[in-house]
Amino acid sequence: MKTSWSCLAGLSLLVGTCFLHAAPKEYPEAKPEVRTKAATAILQKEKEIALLYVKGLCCPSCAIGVRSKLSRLKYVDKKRFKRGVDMNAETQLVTLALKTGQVIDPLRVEKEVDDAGYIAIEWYTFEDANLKAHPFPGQKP
Amino acid sequence: MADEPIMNMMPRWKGGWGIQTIFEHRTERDLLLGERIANKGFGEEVNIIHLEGVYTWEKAIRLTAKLPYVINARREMPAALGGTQYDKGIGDLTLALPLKKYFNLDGRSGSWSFKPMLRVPLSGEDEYELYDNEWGTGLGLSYEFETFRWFFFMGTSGWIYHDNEPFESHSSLDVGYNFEALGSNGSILWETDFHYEDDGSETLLAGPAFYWNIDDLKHLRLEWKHDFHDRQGVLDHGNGDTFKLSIGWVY
Repeated sequence: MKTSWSCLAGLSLLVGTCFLHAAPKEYPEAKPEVRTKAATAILQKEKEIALLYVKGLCCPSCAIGVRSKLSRLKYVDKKRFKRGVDMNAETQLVTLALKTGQVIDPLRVEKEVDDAGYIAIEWYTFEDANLKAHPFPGQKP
Repeated sequence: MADEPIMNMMPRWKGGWGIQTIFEHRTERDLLLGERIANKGFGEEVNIIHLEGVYTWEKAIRLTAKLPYVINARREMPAALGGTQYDKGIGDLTLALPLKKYFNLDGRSGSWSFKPMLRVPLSGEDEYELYDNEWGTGLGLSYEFETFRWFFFMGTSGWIYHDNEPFESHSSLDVGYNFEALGSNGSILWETDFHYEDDGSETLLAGPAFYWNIDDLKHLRLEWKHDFHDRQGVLDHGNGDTFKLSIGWVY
């Protein structure tokens, strides 16, 4: 009886884990078209910002390190948003408030996001009424 | 026992650290031998403060320490076995080195964990001891993932003690729903634990938990677990409930 309980529990954990890890890896809220629409809306509304797509950022508490690391960058305006960083776990978009006339250093931003446990995929600008995506250096083929 | 500071989640970032205090209140209603109530109405009541800390070197390597302090514990035994007994004071220290392999997908993030553990005997000599006061070595394995709305965790761990205590294992299955409110976020969870000891003891306990991110620094957690199945291989207390209130600070 004791052994069967333990074996059953262990087997259930193993099978369940494999099943769940193999589950669909796309979620409606994270589809590229949803993110593109959200990114366009943010860039039209906010000025002096950098908008990043951080892959996997879907848990606000786990991602506190993203805010902690990025808010220390010298060109981030900590008076805006929450210490200069707004994170959206639904779209995985991170908005950095920039000081006037400043731009991001993509290499540094990518490293800070990596140290925080996530992957910086690209950042966006709005040019000629179109959203333009710029891959971070580590994402370029 | 399998939970890790801070709230099983943080800090995920390099150089992050945190401390957590947990107040635990546990009551056991019966004295069991096997599944049979050997002595009805002989209960146990326990109040413990757990002090826990964590440091994340690299995002894949953490060190955690957990030290319980028994505020007061009282158990009722038949007169021939000592009558009412008390315990108070420091418990055994648990050190762990969780090694994590993270994965980041489009809309889902999680990790696999491999966790060597060490139990350091620090508890004293009271009328009875909640903690074993023995050296022990353990190993834990777990998998977890989170989406914007859902959280899932499953893990198992085993402990071998270096003296008289039997082998024990702890398995957990947690499912949670994430919500946002008042400019912050939280989770409502259902947690199920199964404890097994090589002397024939088995406990299946489950119940709800609530997590709230007060702000980036402060985190709150409440949980209640009820023993749905209890079997004691040796005469011991069972059929109870456990309440925990946790506050964590992370930097």
